[in-house]
Amino acid sequence: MTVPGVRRWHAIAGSMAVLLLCGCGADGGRVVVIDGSSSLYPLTEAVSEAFAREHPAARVVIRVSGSGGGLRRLCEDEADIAAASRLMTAAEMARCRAAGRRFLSLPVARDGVVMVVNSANDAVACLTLAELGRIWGPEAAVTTWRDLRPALPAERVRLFGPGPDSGTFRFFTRVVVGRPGASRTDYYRTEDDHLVARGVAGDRWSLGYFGSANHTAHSGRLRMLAVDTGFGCVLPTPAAIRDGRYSPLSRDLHLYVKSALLADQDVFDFIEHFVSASELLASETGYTPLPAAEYSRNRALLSEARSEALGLSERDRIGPRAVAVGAGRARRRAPS
Amino acid sequence: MNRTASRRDSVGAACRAAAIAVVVGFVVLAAYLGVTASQVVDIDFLRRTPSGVAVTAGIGPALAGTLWLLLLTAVLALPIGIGTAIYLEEYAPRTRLTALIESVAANLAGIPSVIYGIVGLALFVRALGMGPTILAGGCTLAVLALPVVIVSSRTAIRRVPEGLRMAAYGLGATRWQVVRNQILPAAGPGILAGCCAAFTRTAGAAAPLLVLGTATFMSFAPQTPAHPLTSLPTQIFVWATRSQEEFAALAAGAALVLLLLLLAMNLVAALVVRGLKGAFR
Repeated sequence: MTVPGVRRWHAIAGSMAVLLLCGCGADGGRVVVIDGSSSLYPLTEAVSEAFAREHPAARVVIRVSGSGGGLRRLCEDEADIAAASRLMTAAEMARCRAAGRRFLSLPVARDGVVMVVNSANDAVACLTLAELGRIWGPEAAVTTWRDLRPALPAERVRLFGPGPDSGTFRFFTRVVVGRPGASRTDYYRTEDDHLVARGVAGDRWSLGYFGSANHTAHSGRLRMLAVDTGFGCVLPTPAAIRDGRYSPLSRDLHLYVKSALLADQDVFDFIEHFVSASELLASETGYTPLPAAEYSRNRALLSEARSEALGLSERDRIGPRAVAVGAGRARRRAPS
Repeated sequence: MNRTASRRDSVGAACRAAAIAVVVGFVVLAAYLGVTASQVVDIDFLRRTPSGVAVTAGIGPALAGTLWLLLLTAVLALPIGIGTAIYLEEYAPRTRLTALIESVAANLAGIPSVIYGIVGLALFVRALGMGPTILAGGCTLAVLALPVVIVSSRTAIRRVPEGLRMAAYGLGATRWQVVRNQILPAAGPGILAGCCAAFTRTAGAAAPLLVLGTATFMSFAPQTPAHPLTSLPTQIFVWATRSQEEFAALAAGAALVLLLLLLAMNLVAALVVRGLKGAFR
């Protein structure tokens, strides 16, 4: 039975398959998967883009499932690198070790947890840590701004914030409430900072919090609040975060890499690039870079872990950088 | 003019108004997308990867992901779906089991797509160890498409005149010969139309894929089903959550491409339907 239409359909399916197959011909290397914090996303994205420009054959993927999600997936082999806005907890570490996964932790940048209100809200400019505890604590009774301070309008405070898998959430609750994870639950929760921002942007009397680097994407519609931690009201500017005036609401952001994967050239190249590039890209993407000494310490840690992963003994190593300069990487270094 | 006639006129007018409203709605939507997206959509937009800098961002990986997902959905859902429909209509005896299969298929079509995502996460990503890959996404979307494919194929098969079957059986045709030479050609256009509706639904689904775990950034276009999951709807979602206008334009651009892709798909299906009808006559 000949049906002209069916033949045409075959031709179309065939050409679609060809189109898909000839995508980018060349066989790239291993797919490097980064998963985790939304607070760290602008940096991981900028670094990955720069890396992909330098290494067109590289294959980098970023997923955003919160620090907790990223760390969990790191130990379940669904991710190679976890981006975390908090340190790994003892329980997580035990679970990871039990699964036979060892990892290296590298701080890459610093940011602050910013309190944001709608740009149309001109009644509030600064909140104290105690007030934040009264708003976000597990037994919080604040429903209107007036509940917080008698001088403020009797408008309902609509809350938007990170969810339980977020590192920002655990960090914030530890600082403000005293126990990580202790928070009221009757608010809109998500691991995606942008959704928190969109929520606050849509309601005049709302309040939300997330990592400071994501604020730039919404700066036209949101206003940052200053926080009084006992030494007067401080805005989370890069300067205040750098010199510690915004502590205790500023923190170091980390990468967690599976140690065994450092033997893989593609993963090592990427993470090496990440450590070097974040020194420069951190401030460009809205973070505060760490002191230079931290980055050189990272590099030393990394090459040490690399030689360990490759199974080289102490004697085989000429110097900390010797292993790092392999054949593929010497080429990249040459022009500079 | 008597009362019945005038009522018929007003019903006709209302129906025409409804039809026009649909067309106007589509045109307005397409025009809005076109105007918003005109700044960003060009050939390079189809090739570049997502980016933190809006002017250098593109939908290369997302477009390839969606094409892969459509292909996998077609390969998985069509044989199973149409096969189930043929079995239920032509082969199966009327038992409790077939009644159960029928009602399950009909009810599955009404379940929110995000539930399919949760099932896909537990089954394909975790239990079967596929990870958040294109393959897992394709399997999930195939399950999402199945009920629609089954229900619409059954309707199309049931509309084949009974006389056609009886005549073929009367001439001594086997059951498979009847299905192959009479039922499928006659029901083909209807089956295809139903499959098109199913594909349009799955191609635009973001929620189930977001549950599986999609790439927010990807530096390469997926080349095998084992590569990480990405798609146009999820890319649109990522861009739409930013506040900057440039990213809204990118989201509109990606939406326009998705719309054109689905239009092209439906157009091809319409041409095939015409071809099938011609062949049958």
